[in-house]
Amino acid sequence: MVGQPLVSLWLLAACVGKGDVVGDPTDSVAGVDSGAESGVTDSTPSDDTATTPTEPSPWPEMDPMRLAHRISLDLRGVRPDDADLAKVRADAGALDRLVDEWLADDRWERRLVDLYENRFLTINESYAADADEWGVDDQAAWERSIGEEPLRVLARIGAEDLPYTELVTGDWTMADELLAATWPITYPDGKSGWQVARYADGRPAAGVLSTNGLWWRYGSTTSNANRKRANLITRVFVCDDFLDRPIEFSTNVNLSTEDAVDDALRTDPACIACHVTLDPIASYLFGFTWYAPDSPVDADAYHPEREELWASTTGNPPSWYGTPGYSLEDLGVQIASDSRFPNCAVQTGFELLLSREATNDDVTTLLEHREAFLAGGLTLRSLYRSLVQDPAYRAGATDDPRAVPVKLMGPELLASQVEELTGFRWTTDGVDVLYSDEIGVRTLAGGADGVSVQAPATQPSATSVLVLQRVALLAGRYAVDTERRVDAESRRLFREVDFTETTAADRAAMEAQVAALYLRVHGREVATDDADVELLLDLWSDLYDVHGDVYTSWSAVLIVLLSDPDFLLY
Amino acid sequence: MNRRHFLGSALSAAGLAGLPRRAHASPADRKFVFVHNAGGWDPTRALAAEFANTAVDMEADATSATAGGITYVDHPDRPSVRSFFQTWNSRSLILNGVLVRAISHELCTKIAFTGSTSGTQPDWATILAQAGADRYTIPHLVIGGPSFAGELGALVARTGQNGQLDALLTDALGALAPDVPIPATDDGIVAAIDVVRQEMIARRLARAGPGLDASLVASWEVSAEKAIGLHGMRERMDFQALQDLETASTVAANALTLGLSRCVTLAWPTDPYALAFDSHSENDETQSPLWEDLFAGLSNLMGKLQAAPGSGGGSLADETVVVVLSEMGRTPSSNSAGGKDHWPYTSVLMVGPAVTGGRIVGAYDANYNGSPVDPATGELDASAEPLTIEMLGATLLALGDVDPEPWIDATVLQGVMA
Repeated sequence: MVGQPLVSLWLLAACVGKGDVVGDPTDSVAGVDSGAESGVTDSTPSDDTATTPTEPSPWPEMDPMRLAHRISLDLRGVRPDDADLAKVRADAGALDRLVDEWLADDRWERRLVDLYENRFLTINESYAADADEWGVDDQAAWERSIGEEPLRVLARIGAEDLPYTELVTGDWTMADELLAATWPITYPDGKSGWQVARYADGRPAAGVLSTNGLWWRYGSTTSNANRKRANLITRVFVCDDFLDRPIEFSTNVNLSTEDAVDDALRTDPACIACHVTLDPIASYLFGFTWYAPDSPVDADAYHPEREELWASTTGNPPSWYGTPGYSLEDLGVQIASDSRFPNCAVQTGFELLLSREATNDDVTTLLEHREAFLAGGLTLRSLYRSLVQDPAYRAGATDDPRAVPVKLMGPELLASQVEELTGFRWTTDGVDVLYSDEIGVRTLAGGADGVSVQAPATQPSATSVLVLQRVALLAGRYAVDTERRVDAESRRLFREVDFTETTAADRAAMEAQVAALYLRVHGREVATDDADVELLLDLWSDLYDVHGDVYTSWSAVLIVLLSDPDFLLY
Repeated sequence: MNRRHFLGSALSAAGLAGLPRRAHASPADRKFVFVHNAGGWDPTRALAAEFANTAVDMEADATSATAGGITYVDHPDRPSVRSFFQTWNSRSLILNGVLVRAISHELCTKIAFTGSTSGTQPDWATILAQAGADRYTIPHLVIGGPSFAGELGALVARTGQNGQLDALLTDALGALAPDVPIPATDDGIVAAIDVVRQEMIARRLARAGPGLDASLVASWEVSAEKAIGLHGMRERMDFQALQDLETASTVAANALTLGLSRCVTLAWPTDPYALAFDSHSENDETQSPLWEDLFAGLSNLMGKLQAAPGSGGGSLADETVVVVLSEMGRTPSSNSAGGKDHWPYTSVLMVGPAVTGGRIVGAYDANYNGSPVDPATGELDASAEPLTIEMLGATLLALGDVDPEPWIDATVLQGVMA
């Protein structure tokens, strides 16, 4: 059993550490110009931002080749290529240099989108609005773009080494052509795909807090009065989830009318405990009140004229944990100035990377990561450079539940690594099957939709095995069918053979090929005469004897490797 | 088939002239179907006849009606509610005034299904499924609605919103067919691959590291076996649960009949994102058709269970506890928009064996809070505590021969167990 759940004390206690950016919440935010991107800190990877654990690891470290696969998958969504693996084989210390290279990889940005979706859960397939109301034909792609908007903001912050505070203070958003056609934004002429854009309706600048994408996903109602949204803010940005607090309902409280509820929220101790804090945070968000959430006339605009509706609903003026503010922009600055904000960023990154909740046993390493994060100018690169050094993350064989010697990857990582290895991306009618629930198999594959399934699976299931087997079947056939048509230099996987060999004629080349596949696909080094190599070549031969077709036989070998537990457990 | 049509089918299957004599299943053999109604239903539209309660806004044209020991809310627009209780009253138990102790959809759903706010504890269905894990290919089949598998993920499978599991189990893939052409793979090749794949898993298990590694690989082996079992089961049933209760009920009944699962979870309405019962405005217009369609679907489900043979000589209905719930209730009075807001007390309908059917347990007091109930008898008792959703969970586990103590600190409602 893992240790006790992390108490929020660590979120506060850490503010006494050196390099602290936090002080009076009304102070300016260290390291960031909240009005623009000019507060960018030095983005050059440097040794002084990398953390070396102060205590020796209590666990043996994972095999370097496996560790290389894990880190590359976590930072880029793909496995290391042959050249990188050769560097690690020659010198295990090369891995630290590769971490910097991988953090500079273009795929790091995409990876951040996938990684943080597990925390934001904004990718949704059911909105009140229809795309065609905005002149967009592709409903599925439109919904996906809406859900990705806040994640793309975070990803750009990570990719361009902007300080993490920009997440709640930036005056820009990210948009693609579909959002450009939907939101009231300025989208750069002549560009395509995800680009920096700015809302043009005069809304306050508060990073993702100003995005329609976030608030379309997390809507509100008159009676809820933005409380759900407020709890999203506290949960995601300062790791304070009001829903985790014990709730005591007194049968003496009259909740039978709106007025009675309002009264109870102000006077009943059981209600006040949460609402005295939650409701004032919610009061910042009334500019996102949409009376017609399916209407282009109402639902894509920010409404400054509705900002003060709090006065006639909860009656609580805006404030952040007791510190008053006025606008959404103030809220962003208050969050960025909160001592819990960087700590929560560290905790979130830790939990996403280790696929488990942080506990009190992790406080020491969390503090080290926090130091690295602060020293690195609050960049996600500095944080993740530190996190991948975490002893629990790098642990090899151990039964200590604090260590994570193996993890189960989710559908997004399965999709990206399969595409990189084989060139195959499973789409149907243009919809990414591993990212969709309405059409595809995201939750069946172990993913979370934020509604029916609220967290990614940590254990395999029959359906996740079925999905993997189907992916393997499709990708294995696709890969061989593609690679047979190109020369060896252009191939991704089959570089040791030219598809003329048979086990009878050139077994050595085929053994080398299977061993290379093990390394590339599983991160596992095996000798060419290993029993597992022989097992796959026996399969090759058996099928060749029946079908007389090398492509079918090689496909089968690849399918077995792609559907093996070692392909998803990393 | 329209609603009335399949309602008719269900009634004829159930036998209006009188239900057959029940055969008893041992607690360990009992099966469970959970039907989740997302959004927070208003029990005063069917289950809680609060006509005498001045705090409660009842619906125009609604009346109190009785069938057997069940007093329910009758309305001209909801004939399926009436039909259901006329047919199934002797097996129905209504729990009124059940405290969920929260009013957030997300939190209430966690509490209602697990008794915990963490979301990491397995839900009641999965815990019950674990008790029979060695006897079922997919101990807990989720056709719709929430699932909290916790560390028992290998015991749970989702069918997908639109038949995705079925597509995965069929060669052509159907709606999941990839956009790019893929060379076909004949069955003989797949069979050869399967043999080697199983050998690979066995070898991986043999070299598994301690702790988490061994646990995950072992879980993989179990899951892979269950995946094979699903392929075999696909030859006997399909998993095409679409966006309605009728097809979902068919899949549920088949899964229980064929021994695929011990527990099945359904959702009504089926769109997971639509909190359909969440009627903050226009409560009457929103709730009424949902209750009507729910009870039409329940009649259909019960008809299928009644028509299917159980494992103990009777029908599947004699062995299956159907639990119909929502994550919360709604305020007793209407708001300015004609809606009703979130309310921490709700009602639960249970249908099936081993509960004291034809009975309403619990009540709402003058403020529409839950009234205290003696758990030993199920009778109102001012010295006791109101019913809680945790008590429901503990009772369900007990009904399924699972000791509740390791999972939930709550009193079993012995008074509702037959």
